[in-house]
Amino acid sequence: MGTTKLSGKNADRAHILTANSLLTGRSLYWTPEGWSQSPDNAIRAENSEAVAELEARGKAEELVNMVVGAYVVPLASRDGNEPVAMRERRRIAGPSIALPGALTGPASA
Amino acid sequence: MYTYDAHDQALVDARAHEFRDQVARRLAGQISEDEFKPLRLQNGLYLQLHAYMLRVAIPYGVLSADQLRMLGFLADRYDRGYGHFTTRQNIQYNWTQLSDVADMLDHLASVQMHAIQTSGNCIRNVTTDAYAGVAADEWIDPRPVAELLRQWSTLHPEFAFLPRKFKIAVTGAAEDRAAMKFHDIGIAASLGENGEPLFDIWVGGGQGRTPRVAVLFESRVSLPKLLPVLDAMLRVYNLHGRRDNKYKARIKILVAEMGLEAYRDEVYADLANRDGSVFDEAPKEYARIEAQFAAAQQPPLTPASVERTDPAFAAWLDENVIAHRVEGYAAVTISLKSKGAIPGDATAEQMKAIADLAERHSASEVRVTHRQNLVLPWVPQDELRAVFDALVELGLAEANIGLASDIIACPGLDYCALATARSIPVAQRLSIELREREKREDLRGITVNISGCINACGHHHAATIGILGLNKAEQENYQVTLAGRADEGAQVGSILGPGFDAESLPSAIHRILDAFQALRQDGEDLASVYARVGKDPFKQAAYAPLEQAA
Repeated sequence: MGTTKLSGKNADRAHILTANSLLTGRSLYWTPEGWSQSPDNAIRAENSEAVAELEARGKAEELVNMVVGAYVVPLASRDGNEPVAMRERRRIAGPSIALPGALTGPASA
Repeated sequence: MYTYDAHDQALVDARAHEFRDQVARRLAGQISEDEFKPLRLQNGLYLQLHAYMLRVAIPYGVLSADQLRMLGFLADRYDRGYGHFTTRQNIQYNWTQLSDVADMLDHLASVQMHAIQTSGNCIRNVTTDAYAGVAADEWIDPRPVAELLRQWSTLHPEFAFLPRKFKIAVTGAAEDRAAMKFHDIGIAASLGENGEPLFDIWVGGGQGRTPRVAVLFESRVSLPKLLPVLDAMLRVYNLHGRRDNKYKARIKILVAEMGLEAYRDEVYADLANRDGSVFDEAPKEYARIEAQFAAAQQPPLTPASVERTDPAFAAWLDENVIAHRVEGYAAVTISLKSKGAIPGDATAEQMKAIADLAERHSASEVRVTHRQNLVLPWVPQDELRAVFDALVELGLAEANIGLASDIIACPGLDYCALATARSIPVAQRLSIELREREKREDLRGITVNISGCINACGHHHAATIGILGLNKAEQENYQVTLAGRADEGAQVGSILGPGFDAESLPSAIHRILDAFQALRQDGEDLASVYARVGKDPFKQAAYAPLEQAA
């Protein structure tokens, strides 16, 4: 993903940084403690400078091979961590369906 | 079945070994993601919304019992205990880890399987009729030519980076059960006057954002000319196909923009300027492959009378069992579409159990259909009851093949990084409601196909009732198309009108079916009613409550 231009509706929105784990492919979010599978404690960028810093952090993390495809996600409100985009909401929530198999594989850990 | 020779085995073994090294270098930081991504895609490894997805090739949908058992083992050992059979007759694992994939490829290679060319802009898995070799209406078994195409297209150095992905289907029967005319190239095989195979070649079909039914490129092409012609068709496409716009990069756009005659002229000009001797051995190889498939055909049995007093068994016989070309056998389709099930999903336990069933009752052979079901192609008639009883135990005896509840659905936004809306929950709800409805009404021949984005992996364009999930202002919205067909009379469905939200969609589908039943004459199917009365009655029915509420 390239640098996000904060224009239009996204100009006033807070953003968080997301990526996928190189090893598992899981959705991850950047927090003060590092990458987390939960966005609950994600670092929020409230202005364009902070968003640029998050994006730079994403690029740096990609270079040390921890994550792939880092990008920032606009949030729906100033006081919550729910993304605007349906796709991003689904990445956080996981599949909306009951999975058919027993959770026996290593990816379920 | 086809059995690998030393060349085939060496190729997949080497590919698995090569990928192990590539993964190791990626995890060690020796290659970047930009460098690694095309390598993993060439081995069928996608990064989806929540995890890596490995797509495994099932060439022309044919599996041995051992291969299916291996697919179940992989689901259990490396995934979350299930896999998803796709409309290209492949299987996908949704929760794989990068560090496990090389081991998975080694396991696959041990049973003559791989994930090569299940992604990328190359020739993808060749598909065919799931009843190949056993269907009563078959002229010629399409599997030998499908295998020949697999060998020709696998790691073909000239076609590894085409303008876009390329899909080929082969059929050899009166009824097209492979959606042949919705492929970049479709091949209809038949027999000549002296029993020699002949091939009608269709070009420029496809779905996606610009759906097209293929047009006839050449008829009655002989076996010696088949690969040279296909090679030239791909070469002209490779040269002229648009690389500036991926939405216009498929061969259907090239053929439409050039015109069929100009495209054909260029193909034959290319052919005339080539040394075709590289293909001289192809008929001999075809004969070798054909002999392997012929050897696996089973000897006739004494026909058995099947007791039909149990209504559930009788219904299953009527819907899921088809006539066989060899006396004494039947072909059984196992529905992966029970009420509320996820279309195409099977658990590891189910895969292993079906592999056992195939060993006991179906010459150790299984097929995957493009409608996301499985087939036991060689069931002796006097063993049908035992197979049914076993499927009841497994929860896989739903008698709904070819009925409206036999729904195709892509993974949609529950898994797929490209999706714009969910498909699976829509399919689950509709399957429950339609299964109830088809117990009261005749809904044979109605196909309901659901895609979660415009790429149309769920074949919505080719359905009697097609459903396309879209993102409308970050809300799911479902567009309905009517009267599409995937068979020999292939046609693209027509958009009914504005989309429906997820909540109102099922009732709109029911009103469309109400209109169909009211308008139907003499057992017409929905496409015939639509052709006779047009869109308006269906549109009025579908939107009436919404207009009243407005």
